[in-house]
Amino acid sequence: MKKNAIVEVISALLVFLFIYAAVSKLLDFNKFRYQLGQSPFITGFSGWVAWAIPSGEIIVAVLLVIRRTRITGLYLSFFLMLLFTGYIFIMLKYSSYLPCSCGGVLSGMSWKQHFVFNLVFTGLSLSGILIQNIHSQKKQLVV
Amino acid sequence: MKSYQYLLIIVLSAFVIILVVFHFGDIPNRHNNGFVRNYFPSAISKVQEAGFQDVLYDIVGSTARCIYVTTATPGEILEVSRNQHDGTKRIKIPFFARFYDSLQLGSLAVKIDSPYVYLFAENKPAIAKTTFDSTLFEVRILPPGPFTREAMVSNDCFILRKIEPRLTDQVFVRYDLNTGLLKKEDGISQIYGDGGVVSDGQLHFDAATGKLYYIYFYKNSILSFDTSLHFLARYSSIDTTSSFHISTAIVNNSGTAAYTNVTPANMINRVNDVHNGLLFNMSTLKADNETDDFFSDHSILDIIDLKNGRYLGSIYFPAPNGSKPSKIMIAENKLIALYTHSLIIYDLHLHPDRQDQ
Amino acid sequence: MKKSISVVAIAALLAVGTAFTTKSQTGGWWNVYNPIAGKTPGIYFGTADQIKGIWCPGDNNVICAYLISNTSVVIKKP
Repeated sequence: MKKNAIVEVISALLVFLFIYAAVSKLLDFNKFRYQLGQSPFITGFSGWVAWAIPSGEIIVAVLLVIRRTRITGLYLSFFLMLLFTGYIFIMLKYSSYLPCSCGGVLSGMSWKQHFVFNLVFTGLSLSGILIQNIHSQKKQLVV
Repeated sequence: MKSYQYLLIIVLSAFVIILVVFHFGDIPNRHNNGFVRNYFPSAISKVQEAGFQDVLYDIVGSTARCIYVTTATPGEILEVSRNQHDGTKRIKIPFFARFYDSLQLGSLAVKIDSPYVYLFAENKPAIAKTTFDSTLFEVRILPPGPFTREAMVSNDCFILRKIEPRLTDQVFVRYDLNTGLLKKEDGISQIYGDGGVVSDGQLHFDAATGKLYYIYFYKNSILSFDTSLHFLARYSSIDTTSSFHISTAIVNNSGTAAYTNVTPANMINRVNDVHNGLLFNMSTLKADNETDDFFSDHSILDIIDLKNGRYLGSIYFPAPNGSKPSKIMIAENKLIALYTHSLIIYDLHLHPDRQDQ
Repeated sequence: MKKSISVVAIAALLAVGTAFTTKSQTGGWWNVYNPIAGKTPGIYFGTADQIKGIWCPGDNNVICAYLISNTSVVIKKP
């Protein structure tokens, strides 16, 4: 029960992050798309990435909200956070300048802070997966 | 499938996607740039270094005795003595608060031709002239259209790169502070109609040759023209980037429209200065005969003879932790390099005939 | 179970609300107007943080943007 509660909290945090980031991007969509275009890694396909990122975040958030699909949501959260973290890593290491394409108050963070922030959330989603799986295995054993 | 197998697939997929994104990324210096550098031996030696708490913005003037630097504090100038033992003086620009607030000048660039201090209110657009001893204060309002670059060619006479509203682009103009006369160029600038963003660069006046030089940021071109705004020549810096590495467009937001870059803005010519007919230019591009480590650990200046555009050779100095100067000035056979929190002066010993091959 | 679903759902609703609130607080995107507290409104050079929404390359005083609505203003990095 306690482990279940931890997964709930992790899911809630991830949902908050994804929905907040997605809505912020959609509210300032023009800015988001233009800043992606300035990224040396995304400039060639910024048009569809600008739609894909908030859409992906909303889909993952919905999967996390529904209990039946939560484990899928956690796996996809982990995937998304790995992608975002990897992107920030290559930007920090290889880009001569850093156009910020994050939404809302997240844009107030420096890229290094953002990298650490993302690492924390990547770790959270991984923890959620591991805890949820242990919890499910125990349940199966009980049944 | 077991949980760890899912996790493995996810980690591998993310890794592959990041690799693909990295592969297609527009990263400078990943491939050879198609040019090599030759170095002048023992061409440079450090003579002075001064560290500051302030964020340093620009070298705005120099005399045989001192160097003037602006900081993040509006209205303040640091007078850095060339004699290490004399230290640094903080100077408040006379009347600054009055100009700044009552005239709403904003966006000020500063130039010092001691004892005169010129304040360029680029967006107003206006030029103010004052003196350190507060005995003078003049403001001239220019015709509409901001300006972005300024070079003083003689007492109170400036060449500006200024917005021409009719063209939605910037052109070179000559402005005389005493008469208020403004003369526009004829056929020096190429017009792109984006407010001068794509063709942005640095403007220098070389008192020794009496010519002006405009060095583009985003391609390897150098324009030369005289003080009467007659085009003289077009040269290239040593790299091979002959087209702009930036695209601009109108972007709309919150009811405001602006021209800005909509692709990565790959700067080619980072900082430069002109002195005695020579251009000292720091390129962002690595030569094919340089290693990654050498290029990142050093600031390299290519020297170009502005009589004919010929590349003479390069000089280099350390770039501790990869930090390269945000501004340079060449004066009195010295190279002054400005960093965010420090200023370093080097002696130059140039012998253009001798180079390392 | 119902309770636990609602915790996550509440997080989603909160996120939407927060996103709208911070959007209205941050206001315009070209945030170089009057960015210095206590200073008279005017156009200023943006510092690197202040012009974060515009993004200039490098650290020279490059032109970041040329605003053409209402008034003609060039925004440069310091």
